[in-house]
Amino acid sequence: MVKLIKVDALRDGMEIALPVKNKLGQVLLGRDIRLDQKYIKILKTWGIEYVSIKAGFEDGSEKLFNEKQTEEAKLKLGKRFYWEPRNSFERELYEIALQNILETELVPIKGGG
Amino acid sequence: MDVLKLINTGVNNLPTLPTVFSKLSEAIDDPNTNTEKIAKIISSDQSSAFKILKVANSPFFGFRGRIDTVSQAIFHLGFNEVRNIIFALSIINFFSKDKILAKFRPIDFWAHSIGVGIATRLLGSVCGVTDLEPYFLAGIFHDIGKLLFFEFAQHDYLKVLDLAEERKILIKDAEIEVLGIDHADAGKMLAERWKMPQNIQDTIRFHHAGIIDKETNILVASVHLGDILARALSLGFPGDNLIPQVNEKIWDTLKLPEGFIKLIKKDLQNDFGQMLRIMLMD
Repeated sequence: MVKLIKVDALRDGMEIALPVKNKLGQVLLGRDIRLDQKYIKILKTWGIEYVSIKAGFEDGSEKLFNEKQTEEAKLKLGKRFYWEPRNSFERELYEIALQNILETELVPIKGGG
Repeated sequence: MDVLKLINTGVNNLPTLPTVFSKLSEAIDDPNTNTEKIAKIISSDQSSAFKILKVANSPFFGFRGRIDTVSQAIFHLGFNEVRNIIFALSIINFFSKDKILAKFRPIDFWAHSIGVGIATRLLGSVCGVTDLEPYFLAGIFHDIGKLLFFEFAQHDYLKVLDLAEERKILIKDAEIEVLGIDHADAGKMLAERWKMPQNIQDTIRFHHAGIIDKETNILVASVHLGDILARALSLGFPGDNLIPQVNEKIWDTLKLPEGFIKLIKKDLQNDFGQMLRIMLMD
């Protein structure tokens, strides 16, 4: 499974799923490279906006975050989700938004995938 | 000149839509039309033909890698869906992508719009809607009014973005406060000028409420919820990062199965990634 994410949301340990090319078509990073800050800096320098990563990295993410991180994500979401869910659908909406913050904005306690 | 006049003048001076789209619309409206005729028009514009094949082969439309010709794409997607996709691509290319206002970039705007298009179509299909053709397009165009502010009222729109950020309010509320008009009403002006279908005009105008003057409507309700889903999953950026409250009435309109929202999260994210590449990057 491949997921396209913004370069700003890249984290150490994520794996490149599809080669990243610059505007001239030259490959900057090949498939399967495990990202670290050095690689992320290269992508930003080249003005790359989106990168395909292996989504497997995130698939088990519910288990990869501890209580403290979940609380941090809830705090972040509280600033955006400012109303009280009234039914199960609205609670689901809250949950997927929370999960999304965990997956894209916080560093998991251990890598997966 | 006030913003309403600026937008009005700007809309009236906008050129007509690209030739391939106009020719296509004429041909589709012709009762004697056929697939061959339509395919020929699309194929006359290589970029449109290339994108139509990519879109048709995306998992989002359910024909993974089996469509090799424009005629096959028309056969599987239907005349109107093909026209809608070309319409969406024409509009994406029509407006400049270089006018970056503060943190708000046109590419983020389009990414959000595509996210809403995907979510809207998915909602329509789960609700058992048989004519899904306008769903993707309605989602993509729901915020089109913002582009008019980008285009004709940049200076004032910067104030809108600052206000939304500073006070943590929805961009539509900041627009009303600064400009006296929100993107739903501005978008309606453009939709009328370009003679978009009535159902698309309605979704542009009523997507914040989710209903049309107290009347329920599945398409408008789907765009309303699609917008909120795209915000919840941070698919693109609509100008503020808030997740507004859903109009409670739409739950009765859509009658979604329990657990559905959690279930579609991964699909939405995957389809979004693929469509983004096809429509904005490839």
